[in-house]
Amino acid sequence: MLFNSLSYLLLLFLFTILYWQSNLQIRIILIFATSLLFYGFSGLEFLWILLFSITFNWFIAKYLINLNKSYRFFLLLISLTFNIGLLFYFKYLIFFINNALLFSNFLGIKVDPFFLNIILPLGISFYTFQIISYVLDVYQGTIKPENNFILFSCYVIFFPQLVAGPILRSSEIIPQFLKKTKFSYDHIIVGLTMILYGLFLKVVLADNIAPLVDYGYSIPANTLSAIDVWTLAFLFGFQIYFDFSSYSHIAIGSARIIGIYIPENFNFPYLATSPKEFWKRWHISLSSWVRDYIYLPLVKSKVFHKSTGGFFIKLNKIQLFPLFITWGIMGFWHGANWTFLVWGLYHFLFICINRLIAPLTKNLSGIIVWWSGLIFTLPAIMLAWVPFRAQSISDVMIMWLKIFDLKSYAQLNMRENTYLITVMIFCGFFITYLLKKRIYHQFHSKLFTSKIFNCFLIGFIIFFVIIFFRSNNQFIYFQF
Amino acid sequence: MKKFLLIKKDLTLIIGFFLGIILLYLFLPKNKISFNDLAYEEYTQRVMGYANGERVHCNDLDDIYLCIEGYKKNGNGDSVILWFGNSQLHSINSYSQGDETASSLLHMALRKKGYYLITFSQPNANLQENYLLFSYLLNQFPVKNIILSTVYDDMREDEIRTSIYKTLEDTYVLNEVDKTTIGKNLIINYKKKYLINNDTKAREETNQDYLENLINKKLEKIWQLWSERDTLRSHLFHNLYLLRNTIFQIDPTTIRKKILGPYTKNMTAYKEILNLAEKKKIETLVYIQPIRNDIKIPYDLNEYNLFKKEIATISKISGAYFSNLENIVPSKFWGKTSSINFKNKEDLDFMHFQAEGHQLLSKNILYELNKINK
Repeated sequence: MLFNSLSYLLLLFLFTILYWQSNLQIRIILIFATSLLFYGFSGLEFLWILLFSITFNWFIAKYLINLNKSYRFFLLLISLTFNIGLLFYFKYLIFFINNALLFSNFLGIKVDPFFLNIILPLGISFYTFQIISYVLDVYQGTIKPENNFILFSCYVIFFPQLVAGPILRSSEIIPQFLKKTKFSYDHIIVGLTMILYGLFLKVVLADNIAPLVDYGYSIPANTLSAIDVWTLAFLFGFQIYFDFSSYSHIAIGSARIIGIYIPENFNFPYLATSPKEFWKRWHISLSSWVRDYIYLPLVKSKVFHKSTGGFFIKLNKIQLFPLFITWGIMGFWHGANWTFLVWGLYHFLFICINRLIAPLTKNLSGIIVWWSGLIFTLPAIMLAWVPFRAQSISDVMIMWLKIFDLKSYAQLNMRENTYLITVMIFCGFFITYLLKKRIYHQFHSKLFTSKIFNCFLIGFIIFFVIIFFRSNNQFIYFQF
Repeated sequence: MKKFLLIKKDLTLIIGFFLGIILLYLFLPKNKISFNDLAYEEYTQRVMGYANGERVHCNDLDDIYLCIEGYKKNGNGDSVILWFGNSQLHSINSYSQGDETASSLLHMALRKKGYYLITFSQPNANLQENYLLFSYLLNQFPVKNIILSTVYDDMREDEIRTSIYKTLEDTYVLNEVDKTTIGKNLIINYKKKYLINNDTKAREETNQDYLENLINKKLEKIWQLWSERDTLRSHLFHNLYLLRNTIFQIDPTTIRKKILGPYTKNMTAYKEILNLAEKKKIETLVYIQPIRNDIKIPYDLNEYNLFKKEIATISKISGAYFSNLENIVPSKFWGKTSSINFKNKEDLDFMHFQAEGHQLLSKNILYELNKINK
């Protein structure tokens, strides 16, 4: 079910009423049933895969704890093979077969192509990562296995974050399900406000930027100019940010309505002054997952076991190979295409360069480091979005090389509005940050002024959301 | 006190909500007008050509059945001449009752010679759209000639309307355009759009879409504003457009620079139209569209001259007839248009002329066609 739909708002409304009327046990059953309904609305065919995956892993985790070390490891391997295998089959099999065919043709071995019709189940990358974290945490003894199947299912399929995260840890969410939260208007108001902001980001900003980006990327890459490449990089960077952070806003808001706290997934990522800081601000739950279950185990360091903090680790020794593996996986997690691998490796290189440069800036003043960090990080991060959106690696290379073609800076190939909107969004982003973090706080203490400001802000958001509300645009991260 | 503050918090959201609704009602325009027709407010009238009570002038695949029906009734299987152009062909500035467009006038003139003229025009039509439409129409009518209007302004356009993209649902068109680079590009973009539509179609069958449609319909019934959201969107975009033009001091005389990407695609599509016509042994008349010439035209003159030269050269290479009609309509037959910014009340119209201009265009085209069909 799409968040930006009337049916979701209706479901949430009915769910909220029933939830606050119920006792704890009924609440858990209600979450379970609503989540199944939420997932089933998009098509029933993938529900069984989800349920089978939950049941299988619940059993593994439940019995894993009582076994001796070697059996435990064996069961862990079975679980990991199952989960990664499931992901591989649905997400990567076609990609690998196609590449194997290309490779065999390259070697001169003729293999007839064949067609596989495999459709990616919604949210599989997200719920598989949640399940893996749970099994690994149980294996490591960090958490106890959950005996209640429904409760464990609720952790995996909790509808606000089922399809596109945030990727939570069981220790963060299951205790909240078990707590009998008292009804508070605060929950409703904060939750609804978050949903409203999320809808604004999606239906007003992301969905209106999308046609410009689609058009830009439909132009043959070799006819684009340097300014076009920069514009498209920034524009898509903003589109994906608005789109994905809107999903997280609605997820957090929907959970908050019933008194459940989900950690923030974004924190003004484009204000990062280094790649490390960017991964502390962007898709925080995924970068924290990658930190805890891939990078830190690879460097044999202590795991944090929480979905906050992002990929921000202070290690004395730079270990390139684990970092390389981590970013390769991070890239491929986003999609079965070489362009995503290029995206991951770009970030790997960017982090490496930053680690080399960072010690040289130690003696400089804080403000210089901050500004220079921002000025270099933002364009570099935006250019990283090129492989994320481009159709092929050759397009990516052509676009990246264009920025070094000084002659093409005098040429514009898209409608004037595209450049204008990009500049407006760019400025709007920084103005919003200043308003939220600096100016808003100053008059927040003046209750009446802040209330008037909030009324107008909500009024304008309602105005735009109602005008642009359409349920035909999916979220970008649904495809991952 | 705490309770009081909580209530105040509630009120913020509720007051904000009602404020938003009030703003929507205040913003709702009194006259409903679609975004495409915003140019037709008080100065220009949209007029589709008729002959003997039947439509001989259509926009796209959404109304093509009217022209097909007309041909079936009155065409007697005669050879068809297709005319492709932009809103100039279906707009009359300072319209008076009984005024006719060039499409109707030329149709009547050609009918006497045993030809049946059908005109297709859309606002800001680009040559890629014409390419698709022409490929489609080849299979619908016994085409003898095509008349192709070339407009420098529209070389900046690159969007393909859904009502034109539909031509690619026809296997014949799909196979035909797949033979060319520009056609392949159009198919790729169409498939991207088609897949999205397909997703929507698939979801129509899902429970969510059923429920979504149901709630939408109920909401439209009980709350009129919900059904007016299309109008609100058009109105908002139009006001943003006016605001942009006011801030950047844009008016109809502002120079429009060439945009290389769309220009190249449209020029390639132009070549393919001529190639296809040549292949099908259809003779083509290409003309440079009339433009108001009593004041400085809103183009970079070097770019505009290069464009005309390129159009003429390609037509010569492809064996098409070329005619430059840019100066055939004198200044007195042009008119004004509602302003494109908040500053001015009205502006000069560079695109749409009065009924006399249509008569001149029709005469000139007829003269050129006579040279072709001696």
